[in-house]
Amino acid sequence: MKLLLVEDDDLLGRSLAQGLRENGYALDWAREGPHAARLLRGSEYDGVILDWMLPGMDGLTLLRDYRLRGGKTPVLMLTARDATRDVVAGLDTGADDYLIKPFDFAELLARVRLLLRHAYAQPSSIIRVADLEVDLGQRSARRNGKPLDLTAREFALLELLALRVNHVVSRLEIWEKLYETEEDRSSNVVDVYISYLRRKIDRGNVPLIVTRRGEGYMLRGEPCTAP
Amino acid sequence: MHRSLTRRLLAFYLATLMVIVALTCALAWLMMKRALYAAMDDGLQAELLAVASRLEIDEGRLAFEQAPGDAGEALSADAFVLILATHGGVVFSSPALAEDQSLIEAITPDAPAYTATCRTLRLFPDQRECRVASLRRVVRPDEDELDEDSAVRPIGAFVFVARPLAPLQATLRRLTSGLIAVSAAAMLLALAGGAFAVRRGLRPLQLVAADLGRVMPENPHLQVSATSVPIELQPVISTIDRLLGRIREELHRQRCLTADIAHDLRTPVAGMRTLLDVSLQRERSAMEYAAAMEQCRGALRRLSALLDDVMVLSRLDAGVDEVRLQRVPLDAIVEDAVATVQPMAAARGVALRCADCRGVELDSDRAKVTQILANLLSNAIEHGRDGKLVEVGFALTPDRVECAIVDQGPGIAAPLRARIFDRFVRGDATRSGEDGHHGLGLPIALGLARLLGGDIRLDETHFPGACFVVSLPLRSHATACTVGRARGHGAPSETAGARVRP
Repeated sequence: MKLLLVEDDDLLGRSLAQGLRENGYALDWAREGPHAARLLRGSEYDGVILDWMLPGMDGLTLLRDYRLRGGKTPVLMLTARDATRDVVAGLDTGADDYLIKPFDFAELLARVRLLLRHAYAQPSSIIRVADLEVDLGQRSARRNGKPLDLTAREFALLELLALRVNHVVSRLEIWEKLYETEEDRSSNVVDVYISYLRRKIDRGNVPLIVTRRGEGYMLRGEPCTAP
Repeated sequence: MHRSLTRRLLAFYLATLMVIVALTCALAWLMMKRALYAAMDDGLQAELLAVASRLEIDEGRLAFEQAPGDAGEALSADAFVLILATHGGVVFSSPALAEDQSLIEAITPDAPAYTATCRTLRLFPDQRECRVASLRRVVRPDEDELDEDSAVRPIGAFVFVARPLAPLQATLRRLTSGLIAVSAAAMLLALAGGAFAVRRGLRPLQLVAADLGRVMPENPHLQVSATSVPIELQPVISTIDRLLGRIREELHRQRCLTADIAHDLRTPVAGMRTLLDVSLQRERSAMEYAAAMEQCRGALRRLSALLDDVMVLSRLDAGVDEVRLQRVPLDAIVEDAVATVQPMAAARGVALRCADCRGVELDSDRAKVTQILANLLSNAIEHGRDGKLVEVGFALTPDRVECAIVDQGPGIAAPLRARIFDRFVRGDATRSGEDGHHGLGLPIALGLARLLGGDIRLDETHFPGACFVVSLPLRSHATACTVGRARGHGAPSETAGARVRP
């Protein structure tokens, strides 16, 4: 999952970035409005954490422009403004959620997960695909009741597939969302991680991860016989 | 006892009414008395004329022809008659008068006039008051007697008719007591009516009080329509309304300030909280913990800088800041201020250049002037262009020193100029709390300058860059021994309200 963090305060931004990355999210951090607008135009994000007060262009204007252009990515507004009219203005402009500073980091994580689940129309943070169980809150997965030992990036990949179970996720999208925009990465890294994940999930079981040649990968809900 | 408007109005009303009633009664009584006396005098004079017409000369002497039938008609039963001849001698006297010669003397103190006159005399041994009518009359002999004896000459006579005043006085007494009774009843009625009227008249006061009672402390607004209030109360209402308006403005200002402070506290607090939350998510190395603590310390420094500024402002608002006057050389103050901002200037590569101000001394509070200059300097360094120059210039007038701080930045945007001394107004509206910059530096500097009897203005003619001019009194006798109140919010300094410090 890839998030865009737009926050001008150095301390808060750095702490949030560290915390979110440690929780398995790929993250781009913009400190100014115009930079954030550029990133939003150029990349695909699963969610945006947006501060209201920003240098250059305030968060509300940024959000309004983004929604006017047809941007659908869920947005969590993060602000020190707590007046009801500000909350209403934020939500009406197109924010999906609203968190008032200071906040609990665990709550922020939960809200981000909720945003992502809503975006992928998943009602619960535990997704079951056949005998595979993916717990997005705990960031853990089990197959046949046995816990799987996944690295953060492997889990992020599994999360991406599980949230869109029975839908093909393109290699490009996986590539985009697994890595931060500025991060160094090679083009075949997706295939490498898919093979790691297959080794941990599908070995000795009915394979769930399906390759669609020329399209991408898919997590299939029903057991399948062909790879 | 509390002063009561009802009692006062009632007292005024009753006093006025009492005077009117008393005057009316007195007038009525006097007119009645005059009418009674006039009636009595008319009766007496008629009797007098009747008696006088019966005087005749009989055998050269005056004689009173007392026909029993006529006399009964002419004289009332309680009347006394006395007839004297001008040369002396009683011609006729009622039996009661005849008993006492002194009465005759009392009744004739002076010679009566030829026309009937009435007066009041005390007669008889019991000195009872009587109304006495008197007349001088010349009695001529009859025509037939003249023929016989031409020696008979006309004879003068004094005729008195008296009647006791007691019945009239009894009537007057009855009239008096009647009038008193009616007046008392009228006053009682008036008291009841007046009390009712006053209470009715003062009811709008209660209604206004009820309206005032409904005023919400959080949004004081008087819900009174101008037409429902009596004209007499309108000055009170409009004064209260103006007062409430001022309270609303002050409340709004305070609320904005509180909201601004809360807003500026939130971001660093959120940063620290998130940092700690994230740091404690998992085991970390000592170096990572140390880095987190270092970051927390920086955030705390910014927070306490904000709190310090808020405290300074609240002291300025409350007017409890004391001015410690001393004679200080201006260059020493400038040196202090420059030393305070030097690290910041160095970090941004800004050079500070101060004009020579040696030899200038002023009576002022050294710490406060230093803070004013330091605030303006750090403002100039922050908003000026990095790597450029910030200049400090001086100008002397006979009683003031003006100190201009000029940067080479983009200057103050025109829409911001009017509010530049307001609290929490920042050059860049979205940047908050960076480097302890909260938009409080200028209001604090202005508040302090006004406290010291000076002022700060933005020189709008200066371009490019911003130019702030501090003007301070050199020898401020006016503020030399005062602790002034200064409001940093655009209001002029209130030296009139200054308290004198011993």
